[in-house]
Amino acid sequence: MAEPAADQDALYQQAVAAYSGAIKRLARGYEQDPDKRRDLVQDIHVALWRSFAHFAGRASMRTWVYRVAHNTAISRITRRRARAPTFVTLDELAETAGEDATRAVDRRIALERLLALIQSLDPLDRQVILLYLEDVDAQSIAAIVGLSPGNVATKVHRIKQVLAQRFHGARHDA
Amino acid sequence: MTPDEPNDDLRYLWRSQTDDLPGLSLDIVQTRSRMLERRVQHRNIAEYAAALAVLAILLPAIWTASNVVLAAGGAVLLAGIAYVTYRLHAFGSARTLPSDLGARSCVEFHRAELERQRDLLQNIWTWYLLPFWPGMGLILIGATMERPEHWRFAVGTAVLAVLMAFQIAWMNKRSARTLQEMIDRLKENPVAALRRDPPSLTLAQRLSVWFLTSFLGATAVGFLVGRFFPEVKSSIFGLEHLPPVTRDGLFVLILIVAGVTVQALWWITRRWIKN
Repeated sequence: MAEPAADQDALYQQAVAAYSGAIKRLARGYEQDPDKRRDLVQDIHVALWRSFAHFAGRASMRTWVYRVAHNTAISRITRRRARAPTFVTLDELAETAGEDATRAVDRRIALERLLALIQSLDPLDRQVILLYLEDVDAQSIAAIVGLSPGNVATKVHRIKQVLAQRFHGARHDA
Repeated sequence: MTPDEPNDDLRYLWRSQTDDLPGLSLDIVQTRSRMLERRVQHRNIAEYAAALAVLAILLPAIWTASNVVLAAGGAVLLAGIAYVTYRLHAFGSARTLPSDLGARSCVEFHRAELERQRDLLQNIWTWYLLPFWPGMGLILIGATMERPEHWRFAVGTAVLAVLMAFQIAWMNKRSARTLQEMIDRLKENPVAALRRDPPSLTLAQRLSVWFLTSFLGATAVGFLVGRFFPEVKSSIFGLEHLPPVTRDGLFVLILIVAGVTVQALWWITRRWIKN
């Protein structure tokens, strides 16, 4: 293994101070089971700490952290994909948007529904929606995920529509 | 466009989730990282131990082989196993700890994974098939020279092995082609490409691998039985009153039992390494 950079620990602690909560929430988007979620969070932290040995500052701290976190999570779920339920896209979700899922007043129920929706999405849509919920702007999402900004903007637009349909009963033309 | 305000509530809800996971100190993270490295070391040790075990079984078999073709087959097989172990080891090492998780976007990371898998499948002849088959072929020829009455078994196994070699190569080439299509699509339309499942081993490919390990397992078990329980071996091959076909059938049965044993041992070892 390469010799860790001198400021590896400091960079890691800086990242954890800023993004620890986001990493835990991101893990919720990937793992429903609490034990698996805890394992994923630990894996992300280890990957993050190791990655800072190679951090040259070419990407922002935020982009770096989200890339490490999402790539680690995706590596885990794609390894299990054969056994996992089939994922859907935002477009497919919009077509089945729901009659009974509107106006969820209870926060916990709303959160559960939101998690269920996120976990049913295919990897790329899941990454985009998680970053959108974390209030990451479209330009940064494009840098993290590797899509063009235009493609991300379209996806974010679809996400807004799907969320509105699912949680607020808004009507729109797809 | 749908107004943002309702979704702002959702975003607030998402970010205000109660934190049900304990925090991680730097010490814990460093310890976990060391544990990960130790797991890799354990895996390496298990691989070396397996290689040594094969060496311990095959070397005396080569030394005491009853004819030169059998001895040459054992030696070639040994070299093939060493080469394949090295390639698998290199492949596994590259797989365990990617250091560029943050340097590449999710799409780039995915593409690199696909390219790595494609290269492995494309070169299946050079790293997986050719190292095994010549040694196995020589062993079959040597065994037939020793016991010409079992020629049917030898010919049948050889034909099956050659067919399976081509079948494995064909399957892997097909998987590599699918991966290449996914890589090409990834360049044009990453969204569509990421939706497709990467090709996994088919039942036929798994059976081929199973056959190969069964053959190796049977070779090892045959040697061990002959070495330490010669009366058992002679009772099988000494059943002169049985027709040759029945005796060959018994040998096939041993092959299957040996294969299952090897697979079970391999599965237990992998579980042990994983934990």
